[in-house]
This record gives sequence, structure tokens and C-alpha cells, in this order.
Amino acid sequence: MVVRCHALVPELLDREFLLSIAASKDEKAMRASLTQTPYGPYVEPLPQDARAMDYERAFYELFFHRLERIIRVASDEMAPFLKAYFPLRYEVMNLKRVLRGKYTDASEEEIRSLLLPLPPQFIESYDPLIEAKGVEEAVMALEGTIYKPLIDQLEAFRELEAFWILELALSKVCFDAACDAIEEAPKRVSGFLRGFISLDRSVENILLLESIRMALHGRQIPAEYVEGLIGYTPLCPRRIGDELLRGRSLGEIVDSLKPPLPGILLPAVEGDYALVRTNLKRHLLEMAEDESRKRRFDVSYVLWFLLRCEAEVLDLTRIAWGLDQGLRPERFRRYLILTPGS
Amino acid sequence: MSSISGVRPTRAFLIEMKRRIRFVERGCEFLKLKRDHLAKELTESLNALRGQRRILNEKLAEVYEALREAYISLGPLEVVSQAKSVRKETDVDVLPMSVMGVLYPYLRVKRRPVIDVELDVSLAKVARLLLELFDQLINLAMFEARTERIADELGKTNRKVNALENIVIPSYRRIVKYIEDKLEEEALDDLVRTKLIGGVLTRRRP
Repeated sequence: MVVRCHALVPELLDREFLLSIAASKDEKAMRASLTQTPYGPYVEPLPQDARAMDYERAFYELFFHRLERIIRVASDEMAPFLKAYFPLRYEVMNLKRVLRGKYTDASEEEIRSLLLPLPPQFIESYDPLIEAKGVEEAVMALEGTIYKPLIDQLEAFRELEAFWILELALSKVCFDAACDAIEEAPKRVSGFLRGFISLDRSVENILLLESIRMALHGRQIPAEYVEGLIGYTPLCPRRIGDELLRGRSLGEIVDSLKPPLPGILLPAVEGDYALVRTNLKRHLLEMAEDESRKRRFDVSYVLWFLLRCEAEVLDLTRIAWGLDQGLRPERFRRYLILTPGS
Repeated sequence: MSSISGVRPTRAFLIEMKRRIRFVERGCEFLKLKRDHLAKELTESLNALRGQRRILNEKLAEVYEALREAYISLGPLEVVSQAKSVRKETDVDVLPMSVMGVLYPYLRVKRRPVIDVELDVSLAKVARLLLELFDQLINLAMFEARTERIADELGKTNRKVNALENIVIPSYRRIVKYIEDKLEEEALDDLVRTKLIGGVLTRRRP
């Protein structure tokens, strides 16, 4: 697995290349540059008038292909973590999109058009969910899979008429699976993985709680509905969640957190949540890179490689969207993960 | 002179035409009053509209910035998916209102969109900023429709006034003049005829 990652590293796009793509005149110029890269076979079949969404799907196709090649040869002790952190996370994203579609009575084509090109991982097929008559029937179709905890939330969903309960439950499934997988990971890496997941989840938790606070201001949702659905971590314990929901300012909360959270979350105080996610991805990548330097032939290198591939896809998607909107590169360059300081 | 063809040069028709001219002139005066009032309304509306638009454009630029961040943060597919998940959509009643007989739509908001926790924090920020502008956007849409209708009506009224002042009234006046000339001519003919007959009768009288 590690050797395969080393062999695939030359395929990665470098910082200068990404910057040159970001400075392209338009998407056509970006596409011409990408034809010389491993993304070529994925972007070439796209129609001439392809939009950012089409490019996003094409970029993810290569990423999922790489992911599949790595996970296929992953050792038994590492495969659960890699599967829980990557394919499961993306499958959860797709499931959220399917359930949102069901919630708003979107057509089957509309739902399928918004899915990432990831084959089903922990379910047999998306079809029964997409073809279901409503949210409840779709959730019931998850019986017998790792998404079973969603069925327990149907009552709360009905009672509060709140779809977000199901979204929170799905995110929690993802977090729990990653935590369980860390338990199975070898001791030499479990500490690093725990810190890694804790940081990732903590930042997402703060953003999630901020979103709940923004949406619920003035309205009271019984605490028990939210409590079990947020995967608190040592970096972001329940106390922080309670304080945020009680109305303590985000600035004060961020100041009270342990490093490196304040550095990552600082832009959120100004309302720039996109930069928070860029900072988080950069930090996670750096964490994996530092760890992989210590052990060049260990799982941390695999994690670094997959994070690097993911960051590349995120950056390319941001560039494609920026070019689609006719934005000057300086308007979106600072949000690129792989080109810090540019 | 085509307006004169087919005109019956009779005294009754002359009286009728004069009555019509008075009526049309009165109508024209009313239309001028309406035109002046609409012009005043339009000027006021345009000034207000310009101010509102400028303020709203600045605020919408702020919303666009937030939307840009959301797209960058989540990617286009996720933004579209989340945006479509807002089920509690806007519902408005469109009622007719009138100014100087000009109908324009009045929007009464029956249901405002409700943004729930379904949205990611970056999209929730966009939604919150847009909700703050919701009333202003509705007002602006209403005001724009009102201004457009007033401008349309002003154009129509202006054309009507011009048509009455430059075509209808002058053509009626020409008809009146033509009938008066004809009647005068006929009166002169009658006079000459009467004189001639009178002369013949006088000569025949023994």
C-alpha cells in the first residue's frame, strides 16, 4: 500500500502548476492545461460548455479511483480507518444529498445529478433510496447497514419536522466509525490518528454549533435532540458546545480553545468560514506530512498521500468555480490549500 | 383634407362638431393634468428607486461575497444540494393597487423562507444576509413594477395628448372651418339668389 502511494506521488500536481491553472484565462484554458495531467482522461469527455459542477465530478472521479486503488491493498489493521475517513465520509455526503432530495420531493434525475461519482461503499445501492417515496421510506431502506442509527432518529425528525436531525445523525455515524477504526489501528499510529480525527471533528463541530446557533436563535430545541448527535472531542468538549449554544461569542470561545484550534478558527470570528476549512485541511495535511517524515513507509504516508489527493481535488474545484464565475485569481487564491502564502 | 371628405356641411353638424371640440379640449386638459401628475410621480419614484438600488446593490455585493465563500468552502454540488433543501419557501400574494388609474402589483408576504440547521454555516450566513434584505428586495421589486407601469402610462398619456393637440383637435377645427366656410358660401349664395329673385320679381311687378 505504501509503495503504491510512493509510486503515485509523481502523478500529483505541484504548487506552481496549480497556480498557473488558477491564472488561466478561462475554463477552456484550464482544461487544456489539465489534458497533460492524470486528470486528462476525466476532463476530456466533458462537453465544451461544461460548468464547475461537471468539472467537480470529473476531478472526484480520479480521486475515487486513486482511493479505491489504495484501499484495495490496505492492510486489515488500517483499512477500517481509511475506509471510515475517506469513502464513508463521501458516501455520507451522497446520502445527505439523496435524503435532501427526498425531503424536498426532487426528481430522481435531479438527485442523481448532484451525487459524487462514488460507488456505494457501505450500502448495496443508492437506487432503493432514490426511488423511495419519501424521507422515511429512504431511511428505512438503510436498515441492516451501518446507517441504522438514522432509523432511531426518525421519531425526532417527525416530532420536530427537522431534517437536520438526520444530517447530524449521518455525520455522527461517520465520526463513530472513524473512532471505532482507530481502536483497531496499531498502537504506533493510534495516538496520531486520534489527534488527527479530534482536530478535524473539533473544527467541524464549532462550525456546526455556530450554524445551529445562527439557525435557532430565539427558538429552543430540547437539548436531548442535539446532545447525542454531536461527536464531542477532547479539543472541543461538551462544555464548549453548551457555551456556544447559550450565546457566548465565537471570539471568546475561539480564544479559550487549545492550540492549534485558535489559529485555524480565527477567520470564523470575521465570518470567513471558507478560510477556516482551508486552514483545517492545510493543518491536517501538515500533521500527516510531519508524521510521515518520521516513518516514510507507514500508514501516515498513505494518509498524507490521500489527503494530498483530496486537497488537489478541492483546489481544482475551487479554481474551476472561480474561472466559471469569471473571478480574478486573487479573489480565490488564498482559499487554495496547496498554495499557502501565494 | 381627407378628414373633410364625407363631412356634411350642415348647421346641425357644425354645432355637433363644436360640441365635440369642446369635449375633446376638456379631455385633453384632463389628460395633461394626468400627464403632469404621472411625470411628478415618475420623477419621485425614479429618485427613490436610484437610492434604493444603490443601497441594495452594495448589500447584495456583500451577499455575493458570502456566497463566493460558501461555494469555495463546499463546492458547487454541495451548495446546490443544500440550497434545494430549503423547503419552507417564500409565498406572496400579488394584489392590484392603483395610482391615477394605473394598476401596479402590491406584494403581500404570506410566508417568509425559514432557514433551518440543514445549511452549512457558510451557506447559513448567505441565507441570513439575504433574509435581512428580503423586505427591501420585495419593496424594490414592487417599486420597480410601479415605476415601469407609471412610465408606460406616462408614455401612453403623452401620445394621447399629442395626438389630440396636434391631430384630432386641428382636424376638427379644419372641419368646423370648412363647414363654416361652406355655410357662409351657401348663405352668400342664398343672399345673391334672394337678391336676384327679388330683382326679377320687382321687374315683373307691373
